[in-house]
Amino acid sequence: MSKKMIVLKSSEGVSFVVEEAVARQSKIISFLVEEFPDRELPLTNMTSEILRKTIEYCKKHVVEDDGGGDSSSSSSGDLKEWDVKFVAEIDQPRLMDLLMAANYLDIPSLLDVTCQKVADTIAACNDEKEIRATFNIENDFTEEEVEAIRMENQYPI
Amino acid sequence: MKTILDLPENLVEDEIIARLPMKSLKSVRSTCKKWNILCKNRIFLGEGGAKKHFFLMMDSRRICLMNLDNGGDPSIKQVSVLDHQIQISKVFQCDGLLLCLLEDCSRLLVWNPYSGKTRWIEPRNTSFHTSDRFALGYDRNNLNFKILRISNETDPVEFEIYKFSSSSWKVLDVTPHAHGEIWSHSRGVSLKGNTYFRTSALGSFLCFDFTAESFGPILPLPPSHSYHGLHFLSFSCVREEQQLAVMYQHWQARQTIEISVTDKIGPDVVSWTKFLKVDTGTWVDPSAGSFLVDEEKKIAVVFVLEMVSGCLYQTARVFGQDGYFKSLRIREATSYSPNKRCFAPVVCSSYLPSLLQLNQPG
Repeated sequence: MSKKMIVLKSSEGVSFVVEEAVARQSKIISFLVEEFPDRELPLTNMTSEILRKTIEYCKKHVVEDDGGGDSSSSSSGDLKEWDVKFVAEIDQPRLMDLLMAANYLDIPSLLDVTCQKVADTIAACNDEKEIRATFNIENDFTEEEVEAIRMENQYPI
Repeated sequence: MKTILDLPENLVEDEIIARLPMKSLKSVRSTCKKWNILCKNRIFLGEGGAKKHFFLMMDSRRICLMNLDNGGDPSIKQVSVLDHQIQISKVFQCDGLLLCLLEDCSRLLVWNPYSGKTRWIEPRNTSFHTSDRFALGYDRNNLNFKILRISNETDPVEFEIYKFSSSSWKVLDVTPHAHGEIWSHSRGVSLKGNTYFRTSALGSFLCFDFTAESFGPILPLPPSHSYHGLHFLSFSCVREEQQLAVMYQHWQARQTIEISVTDKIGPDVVSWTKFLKVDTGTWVDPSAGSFLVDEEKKIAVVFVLEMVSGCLYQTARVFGQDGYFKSLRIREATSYSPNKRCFAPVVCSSYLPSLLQLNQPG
């Protein structure tokens, strides 16, 4: 059975031919293919690199209805492990791009893993200095403001 | 290339900060201004917390957060409950912590309802007394929390202070009579680490300054009221404990409640502004306790006990401008009996819980 394919175009104009079932994990694409069938879908705010990553994720997570052939039969445990590895291999700026892509394309499971990765990275920091260094954030507090926050955190229990 | 600061705020707030363990929030708040603001919303109960107004309320051992948004039916969500063996007779609220006197007066309990953590405070002598009054506050210099005990059993009235840093009580050398006696029926209210009490001098109140460990001068209550004859007055605070509010009702005009809030407030300074004057049409019994004020919406919520077909209910009466009125029955006041004081709800208008190991509610 031949699978229905659609074309996604990155900001650089590179076309990616993807199975519709794979792309439909994005609620936005799912909506667009119904509204504009047989059209190339331009994703002008996504680079080829990020689009490729997003497609890679969607391919792994596609659940096929017919259950035959080499359709995704990964157990949820395997899939989870794969997800962890998937986000672990991405550097931080690209992780932000991927997170934005997941948000833009409305792919809840990808948004979930990318946000969890960011949250885990923050949680692994020992203090605010480490968070600032990790995420390249400038300290814009005055001494007084730092003190005020410290005070709010000073509870006897 | 995007950085984390390029992400939309709602994404950071709802999807990232919401996933953080509470112990991380302390450092996340201190990272930058933007994140400090985003974290605050999380602390006020995460998703949607920013848009709603939550208020704390309790009966004998339950802490609930109540949402009175849109003046609709109150949604009440229990966030913490004490062990069933613990019976509380008095509660004082400061900065998200509750200071509770056990019914048998044997000990004090400091309770952080969010983390569920408790700390027991033993009396200096054998026991506390039912007529003791307590207040919780903190020193603004070193941020150490302290407890003030006012013991009415002795003559003259004795004042003791407990420091969390040293875990010990000491007798305070203050001369209460110079300030007029602290009104024994009125519950103090905590504001910026200090506590304000009504005094016996006509139309006055005063501040216990937890930094100086002394009472401030006598301060005037709103000058527009008459303090002669039978009248009722209760204190509350507005928005993150920044302003003091008083609700006033005179027996001669008992269908009218008047609420004033402070423009300026400190241990030795006060100025008042009228906030709301409403003809309630009914007698609002202020002995049932507490009220709160929402400045933005110009509403006041007064908690009363309401008798309906032989059953006593805790009811919130919401008053606004232009005759806005709504009565919301919250629950049956089960602990009420003629011999036992019914627990009036303790309310604070803006509840910022401790960030230390906060358990996720619900």
